This record gives sequence, C-alpha cells and structure tokens, in this order.
Amino acid sequence: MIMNNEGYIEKGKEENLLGKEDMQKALLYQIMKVEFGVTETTLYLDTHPFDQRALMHHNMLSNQLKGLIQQYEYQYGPLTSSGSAYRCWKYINSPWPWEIKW
Amino acid sequence: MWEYEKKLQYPVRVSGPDPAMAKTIITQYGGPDGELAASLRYLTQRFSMPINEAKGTLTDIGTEELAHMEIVGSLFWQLIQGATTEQMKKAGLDPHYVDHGCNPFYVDGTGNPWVAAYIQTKGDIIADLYEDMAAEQKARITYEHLIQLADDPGVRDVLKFLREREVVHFQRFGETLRIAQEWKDSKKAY
Repeated sequence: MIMNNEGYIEKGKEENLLGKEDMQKALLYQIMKVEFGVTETTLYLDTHPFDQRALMHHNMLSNQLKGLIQQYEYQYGPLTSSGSAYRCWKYINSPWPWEIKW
Repeated sequence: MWEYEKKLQYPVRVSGPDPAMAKTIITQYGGPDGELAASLRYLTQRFSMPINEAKGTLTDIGTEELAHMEIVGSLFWQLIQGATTEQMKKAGLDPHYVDHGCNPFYVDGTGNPWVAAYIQTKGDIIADLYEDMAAEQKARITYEHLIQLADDPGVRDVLKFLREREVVHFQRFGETLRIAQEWKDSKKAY
C-alpha cells in the first residue's frame, strides 16, 4: 500500500505500482481512517453537544466519508447493504473484513 | 437499528499462526470483561436513561464495542489459520476446535461460556455509569495483560488500539457521569 502521512494514495504512483486489489484496499483503508475520526467526534459530541469546533470537525469528516464511500461503492460494490450496486450484487463478493490481508 | 459496514474498525494483520495467543485473546470476545459483555451491557442500559447525553453515549459506545468484537474475532480466526494439529494440541485449543472449528466462540480463556450475570443494569443512571467506568478499566487491564503475553508486532498493534479505546470510553462515561450529577443537582433547586 502506498500512503503518505495523511493516509492518501500518492498521486501518479498508484496505477504503476498497485494492482486492482491493492487499490481497493488503499481506498478502504482511507475510509477506515476517516470513519474512525467520525467515531471519535461522535463520542465527543455526545457529551459536548455545543462544542462548535468539534461540530465543524465532525461535519467536515462526515462529508469526506460520504464522498469516499460513494467512490468506493461505484468501483467495488456496496460497503453496506443499503449501498448501490451496478450490474451485479457485488456486496457478497468483495473481500470480507476478517479475510483481508493488510 | 443497525446496519453492517463491510470493514473492520482497525486492520488486523498477524505474522503467522499462534494458537496459544488465540486461546488467551478469546476472553476479550466472550469473557467477563470482553467486548460482547461491554456491548450488551451498554445497549440494555439505554432504555430508562433520564438524559440524552447518556442515551447517546451508551448507544454509540455499545455500537463501537460490537465493532471491537469483530476485531477480536478476526484476530482469533487469523491466529489459527495455518496452525498444525500439534500446535493446536500444545496450546490446549483442541477442545475448542472440536466444539467450534476455527470460529471464535463466546467463552473466556479457560472455556467458560458467556453468561448474562457478567453484566448488570439497575435502571439508575449513577449506578449504571459507575459500573460502565469500572468495566472500561477492567477491559483496559485485560488488554494490558494480553499485550504483555504477545510477541507478534501485528497482534500487539491491534491490542494497543483496543486498549486505547477503553481509555477513551472511560473518559466519555466520566463526562456523562458529571453531566448526570449536574442534572440531579439542578432538579433539587427550587
């Protein structure tokens, strides 16, 4: 996996060095990172519901997450059962979480 | 309701089979201070919570604990992949294999099945939140014991992540308790 410090795939390198499966893992890993941030801000906001900085941070991460999931689902199939699928129900065939070799 | 997301909260990678470590890790799946107990405790304490901060915290931490259960299950499963019969016997995991194959099951490290008596709800915000804070501390030290026993850097990395989450949850429950106490005090003012 090729990541910079932010967890993003370095532009230009991915197509040369990463296979299809690695690309999928890299995008999934990015989703995992951003969603962890969302989990953190959610728990914090549960006990600090008026914290404006936390709210801004939460909304930013939440929007970023939506974009990443949309991108992932378009390329690799649904991440959740309510996600959209194209041509066939890829939900069952994409790698199951405990089987992925990181 | 809940919706499944086809991913782990944190990636699990192990260097190779280690059934002895799997046998100790299973307690955080179905032992007294494990993730199943944590999740079920918090989710059932929600119903009569008098303040919304507590309902939110219990819902969201209870949900995260389910994700942790999946991480611990993945660790267990990966640690037995490729293990030889001899390794399984040496680790004392052969009876587990006979009953459950390579799947994790809701047992502690010595094979005792999960029981609801591990957890409690009193329907009282103060009593329940104190239990939750204690539960997070017990889970934290359980992970620390496991980290002491683990050699595999991948296993240690996942266990450290899970330990850290218990610390964060303890913090959030502590804040919820403070809000609960302020709420109780405000009801006494005339």
